[in-house]
Amino acid sequence: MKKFLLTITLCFLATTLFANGANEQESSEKVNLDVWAVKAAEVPIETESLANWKKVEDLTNVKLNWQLISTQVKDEQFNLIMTSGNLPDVMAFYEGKKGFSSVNKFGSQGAFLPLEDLIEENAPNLKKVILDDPKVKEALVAADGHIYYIPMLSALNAARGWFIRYDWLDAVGMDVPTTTDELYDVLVAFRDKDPNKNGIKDEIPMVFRRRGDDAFYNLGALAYAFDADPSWVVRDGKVEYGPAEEQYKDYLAYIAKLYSEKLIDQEVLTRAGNPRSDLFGKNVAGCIHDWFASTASLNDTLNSEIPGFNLRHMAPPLATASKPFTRIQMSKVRGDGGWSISYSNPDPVATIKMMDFLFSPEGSRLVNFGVEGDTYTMENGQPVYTSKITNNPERGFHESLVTNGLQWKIGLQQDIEYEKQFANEIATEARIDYMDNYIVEEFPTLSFTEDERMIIDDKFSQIKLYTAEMTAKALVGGIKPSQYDQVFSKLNTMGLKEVQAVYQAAYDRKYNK
Amino acid sequence: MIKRNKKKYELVDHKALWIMLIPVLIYFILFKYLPMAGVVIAFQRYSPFKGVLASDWVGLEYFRQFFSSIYFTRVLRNTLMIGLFDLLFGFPFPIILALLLNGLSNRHFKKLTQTITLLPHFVSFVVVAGIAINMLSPSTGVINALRLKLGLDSIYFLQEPKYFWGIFTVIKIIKESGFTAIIYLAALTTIDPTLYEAAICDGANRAQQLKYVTFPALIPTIVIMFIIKIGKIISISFEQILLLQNDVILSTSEVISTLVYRRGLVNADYSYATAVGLFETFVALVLVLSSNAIVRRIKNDSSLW
Repeated sequence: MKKFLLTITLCFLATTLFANGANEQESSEKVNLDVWAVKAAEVPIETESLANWKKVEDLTNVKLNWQLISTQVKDEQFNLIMTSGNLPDVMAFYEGKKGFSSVNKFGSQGAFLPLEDLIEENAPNLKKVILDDPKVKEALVAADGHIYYIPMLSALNAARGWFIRYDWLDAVGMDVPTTTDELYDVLVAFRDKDPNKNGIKDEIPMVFRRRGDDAFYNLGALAYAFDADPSWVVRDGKVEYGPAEEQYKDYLAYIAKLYSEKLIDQEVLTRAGNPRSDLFGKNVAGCIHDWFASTASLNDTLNSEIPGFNLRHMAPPLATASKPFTRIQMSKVRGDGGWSISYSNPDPVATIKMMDFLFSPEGSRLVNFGVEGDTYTMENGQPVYTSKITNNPERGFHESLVTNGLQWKIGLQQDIEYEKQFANEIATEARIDYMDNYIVEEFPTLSFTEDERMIIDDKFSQIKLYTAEMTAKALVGGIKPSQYDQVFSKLNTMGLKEVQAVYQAAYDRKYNK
Repeated sequence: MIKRNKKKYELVDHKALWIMLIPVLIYFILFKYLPMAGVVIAFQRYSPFKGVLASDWVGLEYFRQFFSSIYFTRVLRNTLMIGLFDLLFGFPFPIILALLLNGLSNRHFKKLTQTITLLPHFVSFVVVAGIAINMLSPSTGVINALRLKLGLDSIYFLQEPKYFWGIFTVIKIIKESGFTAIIYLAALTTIDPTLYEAAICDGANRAQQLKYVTFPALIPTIVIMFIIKIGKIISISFEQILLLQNDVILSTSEVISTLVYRRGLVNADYSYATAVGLFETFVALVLVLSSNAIVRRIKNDSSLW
């Protein structure tokens, strides 16, 4: 019996071997690639009849044999494949919140090819968006220093911004505030003129969520109105510590004024639960700084309970800065899309070239919008999805994209036009407005030597704590504006100059080589 | 000869007991003694990628950083004060509770009270902290609602540094007293009822019974609990503080363990955290040994060693 089984297996192996060999000879002009990928939506997908992928295959000279996996079983399947050691040629796997930690882990153990050299030599488009963009590269590099996957890059990097109740503005008869003075007036009106019309003075004009023990995670965004900064900032090539600068005191004086007049939630430092959904849900909050998508979605969830609820974004308020701006933004690298090349891939060069093609204008259009005339048409120089996508009687917008081979969870650059035509209008409008008009360069991520790290750990941890404590004290009036100079000059005795020199050195190494 | 045989029989006779001791020993070796080797990283600039063997030695650098920090005196004071509050108020409370419960004659009421006081122990501190924050809230809290009813101003308790030690101690008492009281209650059940009968015959009233019978019988338990408590006063679990803390009351709420958390866990500065942890352990050891020595002076048979 055993012998019989063995013979069968051997025969089977031999056939597959021969078959593979034959295949390679037959399609000498096309490279066959088995691609294992997680479905971007739980819909049936006819991989043989996808016009856009057919075109990708023709233009890159590969044949892609898709094996699409349901999200429900993807982790199991991936782990099974990893333990078997028998990998498809390309794998598009991600783990939601954990992003690509498994890919990086198995990559370090040899399951996937390190991609830096392949990109450097064969992939000009990828080189530009990955290797030459320090932020993207930083996000991809595994602990062993290699890059193991080509990511999905989002078009929008706007993260958090200002929102205000437009219906309340109407109720008090005021315009959207653009300056900190106007904002102050609006908040006073919110407090006094009973915009929620319940006859009780229960309005909390401005509310904020904390993050962990960072009380100023959102509140700190007011600093930009004064061109101040809650942390490190670059001024004409010089690295400065925001809280030690003069304008930081203007910001403190402003938030202290708002707090003392009960315009900021009096319990902003301690409120338990979720202040955003709780206070907007109770119809007592008027203005917030928070994540775009989730904040805008309050319009959908609260609409039925609070008639007329209209929470829309506004520009960052302006005081003494030269223009309204924010430095808050998010990484371009999405944690839920990307693909890797397996160690056993028969032709890594052809594979990386195919992946590179998807980042060229032509290839990017094919995976974002598909084939012209079929899934999109050009209007005013911009691609617009056809009714095949937007108005499919059987499927929603996203599902229609996916069944047509678009917006899959693979390495691609999401098109901004796609974002504009997708998702909650209020959120998208807000994000695009912030991206186009307000987001400026954030402080770069620097790398430090071990000795520098030692100084930072020792001195800066204290400076940071002192800053947080004193900023909170200033907010609640524990220290008065007349004391700010004295309080913040103490930073110098805590070794700020030394830490600043370390940051400057690291910054110079990065940019002025 | 006879002595050795006795020892041998001791092992054989109580075989089951000795076998039952094995898991405990394994636990202590595995989780308490072996990790002690890890303290070497307090003297290294430890990097998880290099490992213990290849990391650079820095001597007492991390201890210097800790002792020279501008926050050293503050965290030491807060740690000791919170520990002291716990000792002064938190330690006697379970004893009083146990004595009161013991004095109750209504069985049902006794069981009910014991259950209610015991339950908070099993509630996660996250929930307890959330309840406390809500109760202490100046706008929606029940305590301030009461104060307003009584014509007093509402107080933002968690934003006033002077209240923090008290608040923390009260929360700990409410949460843990019922559980600790069980130990004393158990000790109380071992008292021979005939002692009470004799005392009553001699004309002792309830107070005198308490003073001459109950209390002396409890002393050994109290002493052991006291020594254990002393060893723990400096190690306040950081998450309990963090959950109630905010930046405005750092001046009274920042303790050694939260400082370690900030640098050790948030900044992944393992060596520093280990160094401070070692210091904490050292102080705890000194406290335990000295309290034991004091107890031995006063009442020799009650001390641990």
